[in-house]
Amino acid sequence: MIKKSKSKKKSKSSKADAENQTISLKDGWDRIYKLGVQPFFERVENVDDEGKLEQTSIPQQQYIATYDTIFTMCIQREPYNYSSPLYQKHSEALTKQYKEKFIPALSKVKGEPGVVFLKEWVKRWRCNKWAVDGMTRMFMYLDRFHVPNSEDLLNTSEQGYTLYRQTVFEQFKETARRAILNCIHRERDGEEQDRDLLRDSIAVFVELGNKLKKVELQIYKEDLHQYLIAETKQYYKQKSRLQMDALSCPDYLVFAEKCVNDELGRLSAYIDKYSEEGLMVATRDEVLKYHQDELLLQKKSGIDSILDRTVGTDAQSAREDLSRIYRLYKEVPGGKGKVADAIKAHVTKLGLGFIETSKQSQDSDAHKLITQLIDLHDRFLNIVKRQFEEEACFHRALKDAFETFINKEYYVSALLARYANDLLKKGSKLTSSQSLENTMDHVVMLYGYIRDKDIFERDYQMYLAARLLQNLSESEQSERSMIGKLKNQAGYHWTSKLEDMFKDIQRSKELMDGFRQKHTDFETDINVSVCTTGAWPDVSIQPVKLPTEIGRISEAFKNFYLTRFSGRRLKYQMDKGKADVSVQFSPKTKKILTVSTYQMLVLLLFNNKKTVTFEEMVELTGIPREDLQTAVLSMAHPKVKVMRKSPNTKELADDHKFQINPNYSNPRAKIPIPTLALATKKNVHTVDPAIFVLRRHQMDAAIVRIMKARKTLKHQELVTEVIKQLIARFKPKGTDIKKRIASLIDLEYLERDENERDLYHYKQ
Amino acid sequence: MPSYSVRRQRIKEFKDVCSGTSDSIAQQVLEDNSWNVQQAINHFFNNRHLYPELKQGSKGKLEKIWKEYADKEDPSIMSEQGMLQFFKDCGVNPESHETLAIAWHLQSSEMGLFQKEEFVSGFSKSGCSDKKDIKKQIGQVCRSLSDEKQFKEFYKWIFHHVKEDEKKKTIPTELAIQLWQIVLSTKKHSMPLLEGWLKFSEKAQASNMQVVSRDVWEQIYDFLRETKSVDDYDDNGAWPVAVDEFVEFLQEDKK
Repeated sequence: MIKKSKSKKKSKSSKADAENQTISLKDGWDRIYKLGVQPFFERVENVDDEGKLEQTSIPQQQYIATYDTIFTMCIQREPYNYSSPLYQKHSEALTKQYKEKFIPALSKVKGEPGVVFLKEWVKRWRCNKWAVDGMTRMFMYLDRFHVPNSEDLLNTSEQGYTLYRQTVFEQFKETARRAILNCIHRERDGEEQDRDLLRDSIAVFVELGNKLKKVELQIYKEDLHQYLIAETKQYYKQKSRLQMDALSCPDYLVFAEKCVNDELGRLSAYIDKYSEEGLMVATRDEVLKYHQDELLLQKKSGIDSILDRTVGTDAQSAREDLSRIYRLYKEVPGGKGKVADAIKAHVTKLGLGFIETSKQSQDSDAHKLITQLIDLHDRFLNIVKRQFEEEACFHRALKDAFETFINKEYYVSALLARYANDLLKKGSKLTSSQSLENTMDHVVMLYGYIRDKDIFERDYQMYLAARLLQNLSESEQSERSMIGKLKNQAGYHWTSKLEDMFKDIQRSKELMDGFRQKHTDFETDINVSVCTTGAWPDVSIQPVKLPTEIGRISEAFKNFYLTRFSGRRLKYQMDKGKADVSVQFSPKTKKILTVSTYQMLVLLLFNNKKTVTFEEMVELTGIPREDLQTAVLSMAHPKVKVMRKSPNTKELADDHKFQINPNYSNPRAKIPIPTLALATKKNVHTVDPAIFVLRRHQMDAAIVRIMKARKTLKHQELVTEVIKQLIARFKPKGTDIKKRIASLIDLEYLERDENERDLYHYKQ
Repeated sequence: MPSYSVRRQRIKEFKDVCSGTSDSIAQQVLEDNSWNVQQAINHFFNNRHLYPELKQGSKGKLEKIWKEYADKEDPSIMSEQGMLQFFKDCGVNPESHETLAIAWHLQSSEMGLFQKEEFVSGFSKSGCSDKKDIKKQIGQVCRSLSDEKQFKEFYKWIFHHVKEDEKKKTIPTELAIQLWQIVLSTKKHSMPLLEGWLKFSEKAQASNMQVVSRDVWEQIYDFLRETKSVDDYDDNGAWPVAVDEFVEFLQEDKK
């Protein structure tokens, strides 16, 4: 309690008062008013622009006297307890001050330009804060006992602010608001405004609310925020429409970005954080969202044109445009998705276009399509990575686009396999500007999009077999790297076969070393690659007849192998090998020819006979007719002339005769003899029917597997399960599955239920 | 289960038609057929061989009858003339499915031919000893085909009969078409799509349906019975592919 700590003189007098005299209401209030309230109000009126009260508040003595008087009047015994009337006087005093000073001051500038009014608006609020706070300090004792003990009484602070709100604020809030919004409008139009003033003016709405319990931001919300938002919407609606009509898409985007950034600036500078969401949503809606379709899709300079520009000289600026689109539209609900859709449509269109052209041209450059697809993929992958920051929905758009067009035609799978082969072959000229690793990555990604993976896998395996057996790979490391990438994409099952192929080749090399050490006494040298059935592509083995020249050593190797690995079976396959054959054409001419093993077999025949007919060749070698035809004709070809043929025509009949050409000449000592390609060019664009056979087996196997496990299953469920099991390889059609089921019923693996027609039972 | 007096009534009815049966057999057959008298009678006549305790027909007498129909060169089979006579004696139309019904009853192993063994033992098991008995028996068999269950059995059996060889899985479509025409003609009124099916089969036998498998044979019966019009068709149903193609054919035709 104050009285104890004060100077003796004062306390004595107040004590004396308390002990001796009861203060009357009239006297007491008179003293309070003259000593405390009035001088205080005067001081407040004179607060300068900085908001600091001159010097001090009222002198200490006056303050204490005021406080003491109030205190005494509140503790006096009834009927002299003046708590309640004092509370009333407090309110009256403030109200009087508002009416006499505040309101006139504001009214005076009401008609003035907004900035002038706002200055007074801000000043009045500052003054009020001092006024109310000061009054509360003086009348604090009321807050201690009277207010809590009464019902429905606000404490002096809240009471004061409530009075301010009712008396002053309500009257002028509209003027203030209009002034504020007007300033914002002008600022948006480009005219610089006094941001500090705006900040303080807006703060009034917020602070007033905060002083009042249960009100808080309501005032700001109702009296300013909602108008602000409405204004903003209106403003940007008009402005964006004008700009949409005037500007190209990229330019409009720049404009849009500026609007967004401006508003963000405004928020941080003077608009209350509460408005952040509403303001930005309003801005983005009007400027970006409502125009999205028109802007990106319909405009000639829209997203399609921007994407096209990413390949030209203007690529850099096109990429910036894309980044801007991403930055802006990722904040708009649904905006990102639409952009992704637009990109997907664009890529799909391009891809389909490439496929269409390739279909129609049927040209010999089989790599053109794949190269185009790889470039397309590379370009857009980079766009997704850099301009769209690797966002999932864009990755997905790219993936969907590729999956759509890449599966339009069966032959894309085959082309891709062939491309991969040429990529990994020796002397590959395929690596474009990107490195080999990068290209391989793209090939694997394209493979990932393909639905009929089994076509690609079969072809790839065949090509790999050829490369391994004929030692055509550029580098073992790249081969292994490619397999590793495929494994990531495809899983272990198929790639393990490829790895087994590698192991076979490795082991074969070791075997050959071992064999050569042991057997040094043969005229011919042999190199065998031992391939495990199952890992290598299925080729049926033609039983050719091995002539004596090579028969001995072949047998020797076979025995060598079988002693090492008993219990295995070894069969020679002569269709894929190469041989160096030394041919004595004439007494003076002896050359070494590099031929296929089939051709070797043919040549060896001439060791026994000078002239051989085609029929005899078929019989003596055991080579299948078609292959023999190719082998022989390529040697008899006028450009090659290793053999001569009678009759000397392109056609071939059984009785046509062949001889080694005694007039053969060639400057080189060792000459490679090509096996000419078949006259009928295989149509690149059809699928090998063997694939369909394979698929039938896979469907059968799946059906039996599923039925064995489930015993009983409804038709529809069976179909669904089969598709689920095979989808990683290819997508089976419902009718095909039905056909397989019918066949399995005939073979008595399954039977229909007696009563429920669409129920199948597994037959034990 | 019907009441005791109703049961006794039905047993009596059964025995009246199926002469020579005992009470216990009558009861057995009726029980197996949900106490439906007509059904029981049909079942009984077509499965006489299941009740060997009944009086069998005289094999000697049957062999004598057989001689009338037998082929001179090979008496183990019926001659052509013999068959025509046989059908006449039975009161059966040689052009109709009833000839097949006889084959079914005798469980003939060869299509279009009756063998002595099958003739004698088959009729003997059904308790026939003379031509009168045989005629009555055949009559019963044909009548029983109006029972849906019996007819389906008969229809399914035809496939095996015609196939002859156990190992074979299919019959030529040409043959199937003829059979459908003969056998299903009686059902024409309840199978509005039958005409269409025959037309389709004619067309398809050169290309995608050169043979008919057991599944198609059996399923088409259900299909034609159940499906009154192409609009009823549920293409997610487990009908064989041939049926799907048939429906496509009909829809094409409609256009």
